[in-house]
Amino acid sequence: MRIIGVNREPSWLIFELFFPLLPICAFAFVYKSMNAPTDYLGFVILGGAMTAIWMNVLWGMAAQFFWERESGNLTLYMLCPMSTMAVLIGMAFGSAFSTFFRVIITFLIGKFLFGVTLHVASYFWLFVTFILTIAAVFSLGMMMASFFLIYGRDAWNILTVFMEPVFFMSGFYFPVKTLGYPLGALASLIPITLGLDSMRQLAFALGPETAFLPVKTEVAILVVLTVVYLAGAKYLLNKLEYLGRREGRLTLRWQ
Amino acid sequence: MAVTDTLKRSAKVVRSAAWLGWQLESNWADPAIFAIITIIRPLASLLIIIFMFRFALGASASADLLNFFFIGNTVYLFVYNVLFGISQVIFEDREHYEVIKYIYISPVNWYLYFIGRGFARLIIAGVSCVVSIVAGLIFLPLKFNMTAAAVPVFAFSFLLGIVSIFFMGIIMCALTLVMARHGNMMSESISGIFFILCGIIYPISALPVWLQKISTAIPISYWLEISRRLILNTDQTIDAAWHGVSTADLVYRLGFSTAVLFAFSVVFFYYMSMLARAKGIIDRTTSY
Repeated sequence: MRIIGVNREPSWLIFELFFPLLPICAFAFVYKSMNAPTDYLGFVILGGAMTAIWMNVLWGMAAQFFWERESGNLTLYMLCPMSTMAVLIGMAFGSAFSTFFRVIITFLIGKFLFGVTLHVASYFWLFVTFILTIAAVFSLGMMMASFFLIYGRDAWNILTVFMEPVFFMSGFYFPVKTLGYPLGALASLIPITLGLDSMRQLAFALGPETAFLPVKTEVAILVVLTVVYLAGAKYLLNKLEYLGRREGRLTLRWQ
Repeated sequence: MAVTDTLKRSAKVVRSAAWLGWQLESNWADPAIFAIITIIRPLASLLIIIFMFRFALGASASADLLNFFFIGNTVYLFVYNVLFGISQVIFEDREHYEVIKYIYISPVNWYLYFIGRGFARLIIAGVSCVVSIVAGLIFLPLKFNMTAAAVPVFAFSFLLGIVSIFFMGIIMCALTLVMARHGNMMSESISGIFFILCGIIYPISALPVWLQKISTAIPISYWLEISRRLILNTDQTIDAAWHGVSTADLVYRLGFSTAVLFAFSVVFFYYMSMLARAKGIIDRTTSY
């Protein structure tokens, strides 16, 4: 459905792919204006690439049921003999087309506009960290999606709180270590925090100097977070679907 | 008499639209939660930059640099909120609440209706601005040295700046009349262009030379530089792109560009609304 949607409205690609890159460039120019090392610009580029994934989780996955209910599709989903988790995972994969394209473009901009070069310490661990980060954030996204089975505009507005505050707490544009350990530990509940920290350590020469925790510890925590959020998503989707049915909120539009 | 009646009627349209916009923005939560949600995003944006400075420069970050970015970031709150607010109205009324056809056939001036809807976001931007200033006073070595003589010029330029972004918002609103739902990313995108080009959080002189030429032709850039000079009580800021240009000249450029934007926004809005009507897409929904 997502891929067909993109085909119907190609202008979406331009808005989704190119224009969101502008704030990332702005943050890179901040470091450039300070004559900071190129790796710092790389930190921004990596953080910027991960914003594409986080935005996909927030608006392509967590808020998916909001749109489906507003357009009247949610009731059809409920009528079908299928799992709501499967729908959400499918939607996430459908969005992956534009999301990963945006990630690649972000890195190309980093390389050709800002001269960022990667010094990868281990491609294996970099791949493992990336996949685990994606798994954990998608599980978190499914948990958040469950709230849209009973809430409407209120959940939608509250979701906006997970943008800039998460960009700040998770250290999208600076290493999370800068926040200090207590705040960093709290931010680690958002999987992208540890994922970003690990990837910076593995992909940049200056990365290890800014490490919050060792890579293997962060990988272990990401595994735990994935399992916990996946179980939480399963529980919450079932529970809130039941509540939505009982209170008649599954078909309630414009609330 | 007729002129007075027209003005009264216009004011009523703007006031009613502003009230409607405010209800839509705020009535989904109790005031305490709404207040928290309203202040938390600008606060986080401010903290991102503060921690970037802390990470890259440590204690060596100069007060001039911090003041420069702080004023830019605070003024940008108005730019983002108003541009986003006005251009989103089409999607809200057309796609979400599906009421745009009723508004279209009602006896109100459409242009003024959209201006009015933008006021709700202007209020939110104002609140965010106050929160940012309080946070800035806590976390940053701010130095507000504005003289009493500069206050009228500052107020005038601020008003011009606000009015100019309302006109830009109308231009974007006109574009969204012929766009599908996905066009809601456009306002974010245009705001992003201004964020990168207008020297919001770094001097325009940090940009490549060819981009500086574009940057120095955007009204928001004039507004920011005027605000910085008057607040910091200086003839020039750290942005070398404006060295040699007087504050009076910047105010003149801001006034002139605002007038041009007004004329263009009126013509463009009416053209696009006629185009949308001719294509039969004023009340279309695009849920794919």
